[in-house]
Amino acid sequence: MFNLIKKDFAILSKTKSDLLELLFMPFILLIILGFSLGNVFMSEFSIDTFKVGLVNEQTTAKSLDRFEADLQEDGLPAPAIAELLTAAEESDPEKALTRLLQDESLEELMETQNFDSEKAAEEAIASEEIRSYIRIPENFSYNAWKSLYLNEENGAELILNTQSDGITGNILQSVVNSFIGQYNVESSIAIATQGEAEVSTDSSEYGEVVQLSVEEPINAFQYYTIGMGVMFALFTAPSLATRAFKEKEQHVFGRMMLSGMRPLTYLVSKFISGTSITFVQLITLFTLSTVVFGTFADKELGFWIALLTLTASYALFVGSLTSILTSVSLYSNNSSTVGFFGSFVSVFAFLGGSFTPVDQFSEALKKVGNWTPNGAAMTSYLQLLQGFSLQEVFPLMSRIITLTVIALVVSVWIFPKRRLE
Amino acid sequence: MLEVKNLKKTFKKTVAVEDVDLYIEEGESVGLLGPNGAGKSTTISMISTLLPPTKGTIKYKGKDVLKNPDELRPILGVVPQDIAIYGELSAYANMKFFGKIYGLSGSQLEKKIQEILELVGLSDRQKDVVDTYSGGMKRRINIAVALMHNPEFLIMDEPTVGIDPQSRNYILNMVKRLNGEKGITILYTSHYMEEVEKLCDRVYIMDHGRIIASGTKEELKNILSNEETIVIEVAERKQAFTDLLVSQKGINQVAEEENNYQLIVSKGDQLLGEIFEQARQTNVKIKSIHIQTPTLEDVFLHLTGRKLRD
Ligand SMILES: Nc1ncnc2c1ncn2[C@@H]1O[C@H](COP(=O)(O)OP(=O)(O)O)[C@@H](O)[C@H]1O
Ligand SMILES: [Mg+2]
Repeated sequence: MFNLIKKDFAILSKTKSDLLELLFMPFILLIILGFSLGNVFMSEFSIDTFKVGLVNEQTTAKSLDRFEADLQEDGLPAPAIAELLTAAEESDPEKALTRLLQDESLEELMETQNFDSEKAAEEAIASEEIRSYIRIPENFSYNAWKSLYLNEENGAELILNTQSDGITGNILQSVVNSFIGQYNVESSIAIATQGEAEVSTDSSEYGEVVQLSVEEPINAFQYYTIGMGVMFALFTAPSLATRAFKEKEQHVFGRMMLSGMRPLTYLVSKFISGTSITFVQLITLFTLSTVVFGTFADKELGFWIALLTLTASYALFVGSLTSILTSVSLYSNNSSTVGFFGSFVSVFAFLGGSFTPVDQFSEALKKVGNWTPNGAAMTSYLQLLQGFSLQEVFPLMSRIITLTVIALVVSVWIFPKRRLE
Repeated sequence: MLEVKNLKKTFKKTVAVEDVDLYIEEGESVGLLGPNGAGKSTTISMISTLLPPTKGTIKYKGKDVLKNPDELRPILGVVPQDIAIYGELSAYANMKFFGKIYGLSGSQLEKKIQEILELVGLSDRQKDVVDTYSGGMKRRINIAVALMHNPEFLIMDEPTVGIDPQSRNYILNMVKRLNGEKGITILYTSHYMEEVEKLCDRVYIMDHGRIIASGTKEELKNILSNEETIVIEVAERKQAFTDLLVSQKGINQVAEEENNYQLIVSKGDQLLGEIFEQARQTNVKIKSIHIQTPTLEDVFLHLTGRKLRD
């Protein structure tokens, strides 16, 4: 088995055109795209400083008055009431939220714009001035206090209305969740999401996003290092499958079978070759990009571990794709069949958003994109870059793994187990 | 040792091989002679267990090869018609790869590689990439790889196609040695009659998917015992002359090639006078006339009315 894989590596390393396509091309492209689209990219895809609307319908004074009235009604002694009111004022959730939104750490990420009414905010969304707003409803602080100090009411509700289910939507969701976490009154403040329901489903998919670390925004080199890497990794599969077709055509495969080797052994060797070549390819590209452009230079060990894990699972997928294409090429006597299936790869590459950020796609395309393994891989990589942990990226990664398993099963299923025609 | 009965192979609608019966005894060197497209490669692929026949049986030492391919495979060496080698790798790397596939390793593998490289005369170029080899060298490495596991039975499919005479001679002598000194049983496919004539004890002649004649070289030539071959060299061939030759009584077959006519005639008929007369009539200038003892080529010509290499 090792012999077979070593042979695939040896041949690849001797084939200039393939090396060029699989390693050199993505690097050149990322240089070109990184430099030329650097600026355009930042404005179009920037996740730094996006605008968030804030509609504050409550005033702390009013809430305090109401709360005081309630306390008096309950017949609490005056000193106790005074103490509670001071505590309440200090722990005003509205102030905490506005403070957080204005926090330095979020400054380079988003900009808060105040609106007088929900209507004004809706208009701003309609005119695409903003894509999301947070509404603090009337009685927000009051309800929070009631729940916090008196165990009454169901707690306060914070309303998040967002039209963005992309990265910005996620970030906002994280910010709000993080606020709730900080406020440490999960029971007293809930979040209600309006607008496109995407965010809430996404958030459950990505797991509880409580911690938001505000990293440097993704720059063009990072985006295209990932984009090109993920896309060109896909091309490894047809490249190896074409070789498998050649091995059959030139009767080298027959020679192997004559030695008593089982056909399945051969298929497995292609799977492992595809996986390991892709892994080496991606790591080489990441390393090269980091050495030349400092792409991932400032990342910590945790990021690299997550990166390696994600890369490994994506490499496994490409391995399984290699396996399918190998099956197809051994099954068919026609080299164009391999080419035909190979061209799916290009479609995948497009849908996965290697060239254009998926954020610019239509909703439907976006969904399809995230179900392509490379699209899922790409989103996962970008999330890792934004400081998401491996655990948080796992749901997306599990799509890749699922697709890998499916691809493997299919490839074994269509593999001609009998001797060959 | 090997017995093939009633072998047939159809690809979709084309019948590539039909009614093929043949046998090979241990230590024999058997030739399979036939023009391009005769069905030689297809027959060989079936015998070497790589292509399932549409019909027929193949038995090795009495056992059905189709049901138990693993009985035959370990002792079988196959030299395919195409160069079945990784061109991107060196000869040495190729041999190492295929040797390992056959379970060789370590110093045993190393020794075997060097021994065979010596045999095929590629020792000094072993580290070079196969793609940089000449046609003859590629053919030799193609054979070398098939010898890595000491096969007792070697099937060679046109191992000398398209190479220079020197390399060809080298290969022919090598095959003769493999058969003579090492006792390897050989099934040798070719469309070159001289090769088969030089190498093989027995010959099967194939055409249009069928065996049209078989036997020892002598037996086959005996088919022509009542005939002989006349080769006429002319300055320029003319259709009128050809027509006269074809209609001449006593001339059984006429084949043309460049400035030559090859005639198969009944022995004893005194035809030279007629031939000179016909040449004079049609204004063809005869440069020379030879009367030859028959070759296998002539046998093929006799049987099919065509030359082996049309
Ligand atoms: N895989 C195939 N599919 C269809 N036809 C084939 C295939 N292999 C061989 N043939 C046909 O079978 C015939 C015999 O071919 P082959 O065995 O290669 O002849 P030879 O080796 O004597 O030149 C030819 O007509 C060829 O076109
Ligand atoms: Mg052939």
